[in-house]
Amino acid sequence: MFVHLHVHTPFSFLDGASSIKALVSRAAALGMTALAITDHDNVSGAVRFQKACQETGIRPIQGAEVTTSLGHLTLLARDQRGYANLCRILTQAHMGHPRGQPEADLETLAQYHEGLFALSGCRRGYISSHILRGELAEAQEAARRLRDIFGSAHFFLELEGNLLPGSQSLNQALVDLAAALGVGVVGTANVHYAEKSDFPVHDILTCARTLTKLEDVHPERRLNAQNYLAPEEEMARVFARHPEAVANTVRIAEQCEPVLTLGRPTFPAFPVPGDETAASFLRQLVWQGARKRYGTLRPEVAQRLQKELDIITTLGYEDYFLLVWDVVRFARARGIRYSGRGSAADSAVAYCLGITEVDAIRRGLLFERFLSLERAEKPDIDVDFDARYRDDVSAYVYQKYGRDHVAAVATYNTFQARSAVRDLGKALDIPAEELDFLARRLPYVGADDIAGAMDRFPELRHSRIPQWKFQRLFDTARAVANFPRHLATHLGGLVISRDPIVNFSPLQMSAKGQVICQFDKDDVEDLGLVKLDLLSLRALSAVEDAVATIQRRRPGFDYDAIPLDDKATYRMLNQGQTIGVFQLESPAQRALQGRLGAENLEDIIDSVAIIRPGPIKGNMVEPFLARRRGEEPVSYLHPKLKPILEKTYGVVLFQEQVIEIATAIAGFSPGDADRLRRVMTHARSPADMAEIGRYFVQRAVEQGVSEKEAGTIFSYIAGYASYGFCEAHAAAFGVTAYKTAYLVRHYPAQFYAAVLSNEPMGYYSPDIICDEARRRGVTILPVDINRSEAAFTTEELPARGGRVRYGIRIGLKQVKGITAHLLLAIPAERKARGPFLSLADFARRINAPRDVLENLVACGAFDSLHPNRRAMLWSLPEILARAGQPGPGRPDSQRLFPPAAAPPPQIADFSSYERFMKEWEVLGLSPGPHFMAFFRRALAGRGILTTKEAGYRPQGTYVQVAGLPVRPHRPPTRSGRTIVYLSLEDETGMLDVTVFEHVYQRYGHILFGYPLPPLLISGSIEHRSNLAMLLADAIAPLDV
Amino acid sequence: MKRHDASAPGGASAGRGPLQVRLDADGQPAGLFWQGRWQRVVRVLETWHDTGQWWDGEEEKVFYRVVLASGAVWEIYRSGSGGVGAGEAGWHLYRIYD
Repeated sequence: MFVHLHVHTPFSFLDGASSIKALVSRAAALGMTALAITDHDNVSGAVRFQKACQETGIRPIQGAEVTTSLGHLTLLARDQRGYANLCRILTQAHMGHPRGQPEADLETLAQYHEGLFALSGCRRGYISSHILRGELAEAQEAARRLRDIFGSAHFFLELEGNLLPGSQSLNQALVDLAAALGVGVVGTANVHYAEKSDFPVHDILTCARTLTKLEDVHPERRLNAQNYLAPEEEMARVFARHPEAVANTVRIAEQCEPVLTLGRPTFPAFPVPGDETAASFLRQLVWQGARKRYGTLRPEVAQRLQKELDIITTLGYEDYFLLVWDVVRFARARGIRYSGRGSAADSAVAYCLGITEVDAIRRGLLFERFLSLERAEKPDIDVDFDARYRDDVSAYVYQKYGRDHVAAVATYNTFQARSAVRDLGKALDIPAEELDFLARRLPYVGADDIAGAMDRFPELRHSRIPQWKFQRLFDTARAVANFPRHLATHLGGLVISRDPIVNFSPLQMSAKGQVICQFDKDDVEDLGLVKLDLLSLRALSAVEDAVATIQRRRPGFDYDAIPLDDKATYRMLNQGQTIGVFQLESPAQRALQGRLGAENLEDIIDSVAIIRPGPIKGNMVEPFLARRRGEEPVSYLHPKLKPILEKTYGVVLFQEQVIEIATAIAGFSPGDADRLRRVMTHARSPADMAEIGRYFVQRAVEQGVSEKEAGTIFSYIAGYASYGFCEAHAAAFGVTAYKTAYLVRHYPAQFYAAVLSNEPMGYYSPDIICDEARRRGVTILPVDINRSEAAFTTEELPARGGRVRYGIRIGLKQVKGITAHLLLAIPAERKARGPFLSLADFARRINAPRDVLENLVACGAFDSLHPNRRAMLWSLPEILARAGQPGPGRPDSQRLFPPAAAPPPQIADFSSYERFMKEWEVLGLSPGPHFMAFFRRALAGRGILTTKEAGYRPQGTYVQVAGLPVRPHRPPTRSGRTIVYLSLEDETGMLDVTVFEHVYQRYGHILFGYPLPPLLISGSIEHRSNLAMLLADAIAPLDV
Repeated sequence: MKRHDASAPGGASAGRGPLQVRLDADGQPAGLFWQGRWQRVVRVLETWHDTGQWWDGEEEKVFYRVVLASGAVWEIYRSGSGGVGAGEAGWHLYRIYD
């Protein structure tokens, strides 16, 4: 018998070449009864490892290879105390040293040694490396110190079983040393992969990690392929001279128990006032909130709230609700805009606590979708905050619960196609330009699907990339698909624990300076810890900014009191004019709005839910639209479906409906329904869906449903099996979607200025937002050194026809290269000492780098002072040379040069096209004419239409249209065939274009090439309700 | 861990070429036939594996550092034994320590 006690998984970050599952399966196949994992300075693999072992019946031993002041040590947890101590040792190692260079000191090892086995480590361990150098005294002294720390029963010298030069003599020396010190020896293989044939993958990963190529020599490269999970016979042969080293692996393993308890929730205690309990305090808050929300409480409201409270307290989740209530209360008190999202909107309690703005009772949302006694799953409440203040809310949580009890959740940056190509390709010494060429063209596919993508995507087929040359790269990428590359910070997830976090997880600093635990959100959930998602939503920041601007002129404006039935807003939505509207601005959404004819908030909520992979693949969109317009009768395959699907015209839109169908038709228990939900949303494996489908049909037949009907009904569910929204989430988003539409309709200048100031956000780039603002009558005002603030602002313009007009002034932040310091300094200097009088004056008062000055001139920031940009750029070196003169601007500083200097030469300014191109280069947009306007006359002469003209052509007309392509994308389709959607934009508007598969296969390399040029697209016009679109037939780069 | 360079100097005279090797019951070298006579191996000091430049098709080699009855220390290797690469099986002399 043998147990591998020194094993690296992919969580050793580019030092483990086999997945945890592969390692555990291999150990099981070899008949081993236990296995340890010992990743470099982390336990990130612990939860997945324990779960994999549970499935195979192998005992999991948790550990880590820890970097200490005495080199690498292999530490194994004997019990929960040992695991908690391991977490403390790793925390000290990380937090006490620069990021990325953890090191545990001996004092910490001594303080937290209980419950641990310590093995002396591989060749890079202090003891072995000193023996190899002949420094036996040092090796002995280190071994003695470690023995004294861990105790002779728990410290072992680690014999090396990797068949390296010197192994035998090293091992003999270790055996002699162990005898002298009265400690044992244990044999390990320092496993880095499951099978010997995985060695090449490990070697390539080592090159990627050390930034070397295969041809290079590097001390971390392994000499041979012996670091695999070898069978016990092989290990017995390797350690034939030291059989006790083999026997001790079993003795050690027998003393190690599984240390993680999965699935049992542990909640932090909320500090309640006075004599209250958490339950009584929660009830008090809920009834208070209910009176505010509902006024007089009708019996059904009171009953619903009572029922929810009973379930919450039975499950013991009252502290969690109070925690979330407290966080949003803090946000409200600080004026930080927030919005609860997700399935929490199914809860009337959450509504009364002010966590969500969705009235679950009025909407008939089931609380059981969020929480139920049968499922007893932990609640998960996500809250969006104004992106700018999310960190303030997070800081409040840390301060309230203590830094020992709060940590950010980690996430793993994993190998996908592009990252695999770049990282592994360098190791394989493929030229950088070839890797760049390939990586830029790869769509977002998994690292295991590159070869398939080469066949499927025309832009790759046309690339002339020789697949044979890249075969080794593709094979290696497949092997490491989804392996973690490094730890990063989850956006917004905080774990809050009643006990110190270090009982469960080591802590370390992230690149952003946050303290993170070593587990991701799924692992945190499995550990039973409470996770709070404090998310940033820039849409809320944009709303906040817009409201502030509107209130300067209309102090009584209240975003929360926006009427939900504004006809002008619905008219705008029905025309598909939704650029900038939260959740409704994509081309698919715009097309939908044109056909849907939304009349009320329910329609908006349905819109938000329907353009998702679930309903699209489930073929729900067309039937929904047809039935809503009354063009098709609403029918139900089975009478039990009627109450579930009535409100969505008989089609499945929401995740809740899937669960309700499974319960009503197949009599699924809450546990079955939960399994279905998980398969649909997490696993998404066709095999799992097929299996649960068979179970569904079987149970449905038992309930008296015919097999054929059951199969068809399950096909609705299976078709939905990609991500869809839960109704509560759609409702939460729907409210924000409608209200931002209202702002677009009634306050376009204020709202678009806010969107532009908070970019990147939304679907469209700033230039598209500016074009849309212009189409709505808002003037885009150029950058002005004396008028622009850092952000985009609105300015009132002279009234026309008695109507107030607004312009959006481009903010300084849009200027390429401008620094955060300059964004503060320029407005501050203007405020302190008055406007800038000239470029020279500016250069004297503001210390700006030359390239930023050039950019400011090129984009027209000084036009109001010096209209000739070319002359300004010509004069800039001399201006800068003179700018060293001290003191404020002199009376003659209106002129570029003092009277004694020669005036600048007379140079013609840039042409308007040149000015445009420079503005575009510096700002990414232009206040002037649209790019396409420069070529309109020539294009018109060739019979090429504007997007507006094309949109007016009758159904079926064959047209040619030119424009700037906007975001070509390939969303999932029901048939699995590729359809590309993009928009063409010109000075008159935007035309949506659809490219079917056969056209895509011919021209896809143009649409997804890099860079993406202006395009000329030919095809036929199609009208659908209020919107025109172009069905593409031919695509070419525009030749002007 | 430095990679082996078969032509590396090392304070030793090196020779290469095919070698006849007699194995004992445990599969360890027991005798070498070199320049017309058999040399008895009295001890195997070290054994190690080396995958070499596997990406160029080089096959894994198994090295032995042996002490001969004459007192000489030799390094020999076996290749084509089912390591990472694949290729021609056989024993070779790698290094002789003078």
